[in-house]
Amino acid sequence: MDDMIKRRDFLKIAGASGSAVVMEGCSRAPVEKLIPYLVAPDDIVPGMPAHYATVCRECPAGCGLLAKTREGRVIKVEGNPHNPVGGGGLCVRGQASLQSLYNPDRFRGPYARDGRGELRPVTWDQAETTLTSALRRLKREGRGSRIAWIGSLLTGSLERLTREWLQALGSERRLFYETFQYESLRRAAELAFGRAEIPAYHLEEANFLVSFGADFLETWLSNVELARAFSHMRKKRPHREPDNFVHISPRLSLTGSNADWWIPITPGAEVFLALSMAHAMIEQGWIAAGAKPHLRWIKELITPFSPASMQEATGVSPSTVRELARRFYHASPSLALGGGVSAGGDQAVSTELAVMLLNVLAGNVGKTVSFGAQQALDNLASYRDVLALTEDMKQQKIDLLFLHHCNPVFTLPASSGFSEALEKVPLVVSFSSAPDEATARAHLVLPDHHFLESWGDYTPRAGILGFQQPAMPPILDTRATGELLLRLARNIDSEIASQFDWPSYGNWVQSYWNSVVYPQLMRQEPWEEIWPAILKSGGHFSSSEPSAVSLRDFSRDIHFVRERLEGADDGLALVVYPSVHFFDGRNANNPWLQEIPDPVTKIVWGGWLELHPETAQKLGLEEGDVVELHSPYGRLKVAAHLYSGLHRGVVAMPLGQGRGPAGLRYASGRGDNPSRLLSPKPDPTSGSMLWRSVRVTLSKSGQKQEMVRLQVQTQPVTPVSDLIGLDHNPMSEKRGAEHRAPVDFYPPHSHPEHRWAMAIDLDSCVGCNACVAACYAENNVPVVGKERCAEGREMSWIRIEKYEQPSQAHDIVRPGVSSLPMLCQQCDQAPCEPVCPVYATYHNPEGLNAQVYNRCVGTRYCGNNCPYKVRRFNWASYSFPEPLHLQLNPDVTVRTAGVMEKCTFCIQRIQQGKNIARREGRAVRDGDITTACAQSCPAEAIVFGDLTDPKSKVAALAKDLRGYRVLDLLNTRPAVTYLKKIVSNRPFSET
Amino acid sequence: MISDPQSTPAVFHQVNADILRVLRRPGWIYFLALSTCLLGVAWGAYCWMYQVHNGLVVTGMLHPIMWACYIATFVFWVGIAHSGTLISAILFLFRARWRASISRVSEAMTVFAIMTAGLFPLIHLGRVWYFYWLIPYPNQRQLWINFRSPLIWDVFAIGTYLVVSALFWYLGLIPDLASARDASSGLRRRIFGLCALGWSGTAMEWKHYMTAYLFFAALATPLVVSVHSVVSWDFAMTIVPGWHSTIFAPYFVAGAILSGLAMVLTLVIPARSLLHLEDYITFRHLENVAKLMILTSLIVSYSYLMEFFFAWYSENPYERGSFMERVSGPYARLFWLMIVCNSLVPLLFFIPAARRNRVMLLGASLLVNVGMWTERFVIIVVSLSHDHSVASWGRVYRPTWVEVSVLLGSLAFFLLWFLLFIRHLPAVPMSEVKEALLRKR
Repeated sequence: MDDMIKRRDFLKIAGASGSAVVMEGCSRAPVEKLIPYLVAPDDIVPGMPAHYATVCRECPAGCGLLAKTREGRVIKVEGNPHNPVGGGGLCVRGQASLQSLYNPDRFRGPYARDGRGELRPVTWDQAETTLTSALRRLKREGRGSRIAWIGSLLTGSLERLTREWLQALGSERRLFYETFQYESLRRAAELAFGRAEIPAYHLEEANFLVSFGADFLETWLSNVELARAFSHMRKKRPHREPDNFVHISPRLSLTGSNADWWIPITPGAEVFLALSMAHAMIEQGWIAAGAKPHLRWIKELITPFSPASMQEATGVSPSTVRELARRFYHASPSLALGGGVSAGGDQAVSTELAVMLLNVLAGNVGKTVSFGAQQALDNLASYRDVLALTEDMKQQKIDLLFLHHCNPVFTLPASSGFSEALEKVPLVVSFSSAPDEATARAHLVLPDHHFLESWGDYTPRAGILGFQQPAMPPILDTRATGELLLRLARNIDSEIASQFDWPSYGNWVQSYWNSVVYPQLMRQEPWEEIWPAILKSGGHFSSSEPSAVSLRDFSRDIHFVRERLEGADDGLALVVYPSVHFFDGRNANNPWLQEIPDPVTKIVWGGWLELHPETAQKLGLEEGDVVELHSPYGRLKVAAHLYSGLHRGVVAMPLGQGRGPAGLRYASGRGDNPSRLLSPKPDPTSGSMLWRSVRVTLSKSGQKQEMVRLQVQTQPVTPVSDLIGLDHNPMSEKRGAEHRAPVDFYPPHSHPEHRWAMAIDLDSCVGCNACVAACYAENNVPVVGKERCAEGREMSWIRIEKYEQPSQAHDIVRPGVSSLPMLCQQCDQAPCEPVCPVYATYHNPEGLNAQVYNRCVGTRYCGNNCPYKVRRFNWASYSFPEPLHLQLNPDVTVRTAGVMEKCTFCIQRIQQGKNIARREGRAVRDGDITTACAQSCPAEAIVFGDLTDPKSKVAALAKDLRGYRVLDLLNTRPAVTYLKKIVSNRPFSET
Repeated sequence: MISDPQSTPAVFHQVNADILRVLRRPGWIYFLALSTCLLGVAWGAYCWMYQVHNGLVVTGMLHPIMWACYIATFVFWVGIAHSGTLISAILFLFRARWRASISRVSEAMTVFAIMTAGLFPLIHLGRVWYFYWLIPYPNQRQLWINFRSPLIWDVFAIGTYLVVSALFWYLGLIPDLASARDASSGLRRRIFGLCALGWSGTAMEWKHYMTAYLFFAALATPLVVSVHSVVSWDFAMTIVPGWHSTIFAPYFVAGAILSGLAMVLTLVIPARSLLHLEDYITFRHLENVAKLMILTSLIVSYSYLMEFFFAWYSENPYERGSFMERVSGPYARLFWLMIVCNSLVPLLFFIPAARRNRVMLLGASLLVNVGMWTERFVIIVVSLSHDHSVASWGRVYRPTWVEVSVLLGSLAFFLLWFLLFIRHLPAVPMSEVKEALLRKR
């Protein structure tokens, strides 16, 4: 018995060791609170999202935005349905604005240049003191006029604050600089109608659209709004004669890919094609009544431009021109647009004038083209103004330069000398929130809040008063520029201090709205009643009346001549176009935008030069060959991508890659910046920058660079018809309700309450990738980087498959591009379900093909058996570098290595919708619940809903005549119905 | 030595002496081989751990080719495992007495191959630490497995096969273990004695032994067909073009036996020279194996032909595309290598001289081994790379050093067991050889 432990001893030991463990536990990590709100702020309910209406400021379009926050962090942005700009949709860049907010490369505080010329972190007090003393000195010495401001487009409160603030210091020099300006359009409008302004275009009213290079689905003017209008225009067209969009451009852009016809025109000949169209219209007497009084001088003006005489220049046969003119006139109201790469040369004003002439002749002015919109873009400084500032900087006439959210060092032609001129300015202050090429040369970096953290407002055009409110407190040590200006004003001297006596910038904005905006609204209600409504809807929106305009005789103001290009005669014209994802390069450090494949080339994480395969063959170049480009103004090296959507005489390169060396972890070292090749000279007519100004010569460098393309096979192969439904002719075949009779071994699944389903209209889908970015944001889909993408390990749950079946007449091409958004089809007879050995994937009672991440052992059998290949395996655990992790949706698991994942129709959003309905004691209504992809779609191509509700939109669409299921032959019976693209196979000729 | 027909006990003694001589202290070559295999296993295990730590990103697999070398090698080893049972059980039932002297080696090979094969479903898992979720065991979370999944069928088929073939092998060993016990002393004697389960060779024991052996042979025979049929259903039950085919079960069984026979030759030919067992494993045995290889190779070739015929006859563009991809895609060279190794090389054995030439036999068997592994690779990788999703076409899988290391490690693992076997257990069934000798009389 002696060596046995007694019961008491045992208890003693157990008690002592137990408490030792407890003590040990106490001494280590402090208690962490999962939800640290003992007394929660009013608007934060743990687990419940709060939405703030604001305005997207990623580009000057200014779409309405709803910021979804959870526990005080923005986790998702969606279009604001109240705001007519965007109308609830958002583009890929808008969706990805979250990653500019949480970008790990953002400045975490102010920086100042030290004695050795390096940027070092400083405190805000130090930074402000430095700037205050400089401003005080300049004002005291009367050199306030030597202060200049160059920055992004501002309207409303901050426009007023910056204007008055600069004026108080004695400066009038404030330039609103945007990379893509519309100077030629404004100049043409001035010549034709006496109004130097950008017209408003109403695509939804048009029955026939001719675009001379205007990439309105990508970056031109206001892409979300125009994409929505375009989808309305397309939806109402007759199915029997569906062709109503012709794109005329040397390059087949994403916009052009959505056209029924593409004329690959010789660069510079756009103006002649437009004029010969006008010639044909007049010749045939296809003239609207409104144009008749002007007929005499117009006739005289265009006499030399008959289709026959222009054929050599344009490469378009007279019969095609006449047919184009006929369709354009008879579809009244039609619409002609001019812009983008076709308005980038020194004849841009002529082109825009010729396009306006077409609209006049067809009687579109006042119907699909209207004036008096007072677009914010009208206030942009012209390139000539920027050059003048550059010149003054070079001559040391500028003592202090403010850079406000613009990056002219990158976006201006390198030959303009802006970069060198910056060196001559004694004090350069940048408000950029992330490193860029211009800020790298600044002496003081005073990072601004992100727009989702800021007060503000933006009015893209008359009547659209978008209001910006902070959706969350700033995550980094940044300071709103407006706030900073007010603080500086307080300290410069008492005179200025009294002028800017506002406690904070938020107060300034609110008082601006109270005192300036409110009277303009002309509303009866008191301000206190309107104000909450403005905060709730994200602004105040009303329609503005268009102004009547009359055509002026501009025949003496313009001479139609050929576009001049500099460079070797045997060179190829260089077409520089804005990137769908990176705009002018500002979004290049955004990992989602790098990882989502470019909608046209499907390339990820890289820059490229587009070459026609024939040109490449002539030069002995292959895909991925690094090419050296020489222009009279510079040279650069970039990898070649063969693309047949090009005129044979051009090479094309997107703007946006080639960022750095500013230490941008996602953007640095990818491709190159084509603006290094461009001419610094402004267009003599409009003063705008020339994007199409040089010919380049190509030489092979001998190096190769891997082009990572996420879809290689886009060419027509036999089975493609099953994917894009080509074999289903909606006119001849009975489809819809009568899908193939099910032949099943097992009894069908029952869906007692809901059967979630989706309908995707391929006729509306433009392939813009907005849904893809929305999915990344909503579902915590990781970014894997270039190497992993090259290995084929991308993680996106939804992808846009692109299929091309072009057919060509001698001068006009039917691009035949189909965009097919492919996501999990939530099959009723899902091939992935029976093969999973552990039931990690199963059919849930609501028809979803659910995926239980923590049950998955990673056999990948389901992925192999999925015919749609939409399952994504986590080959590794992916990281979300700080502070990108703050964006993660708390409703969705972050998956780890070894787990299969996929789309489940945003099951967390379905759950949320059902919870709300249950709390309100009602059934779920159609439209209550929508997926992230459907929500974001600018073209409203994706409809989500419940099939068991016979009145739901999706139930109706599932029976649509155009409806088909992808790979129906496999009897998987998907929940996604695709509506076939409406295409005609009629040739483009006179009928 | 066995030539003296007069004194049976002396001949039997000679058999014992020849076969048990092998069990004595081995030479340096053996230790070199053993340590090489140990190193190989260690390296393979390290690479596997490296993969577990980093995720399958260290392999070459990608979307949509989510199975590749690991599963190909799994099927390969399962295939190897087949000929052992074929030789020891089926040929036993058919009274093909020539099988006796190679039956032990091929049974051992079966057990080791199935052990090696069993590693791969684990190695290929994304989260191997949850492998036990594939086993139906009662648990508080009330989670169960999906019996509709062919992977679960695999678990049972492979598990059953391992248990039955190991028991069968052990049963056959018992009389020989007793002989080894009687011929040894000290610790070895105790160990052999323990394993021999007190076998003393009485008539009663022999009677029971023979009945049990017959029953096991009858039990194991259907497994030869079922195991590889089930493995083939991993593929045939899917809808992947190139996998979804009704001929897969017989096609895979024939392929498995072909590869197993080839592996028997690969192992036996060097072993009989090194262990001086030429008298026991003669060219008659090797020739018979070669003849069986001709048969199975012809079945396999017929299956290849039929696969293409079905693809053509179905008019299914995906099926056709998948098979065109095999013939002319990025892996076409592997496809043609497979045809040469599996369909043409075994035809050499129609020539008697080729069947009696050690070098020819060994060379051909090695080529068939290569060809059969390639076959599995082609079926798995090419079919996945070119299925219904046109947008996912054009992606190429390349194995990484981790995968290659794990594959070599698995080979070392297999050889390690085999090396241990031939030096520690009687490699030729003495009792059966003696029986055969008696019958010859």
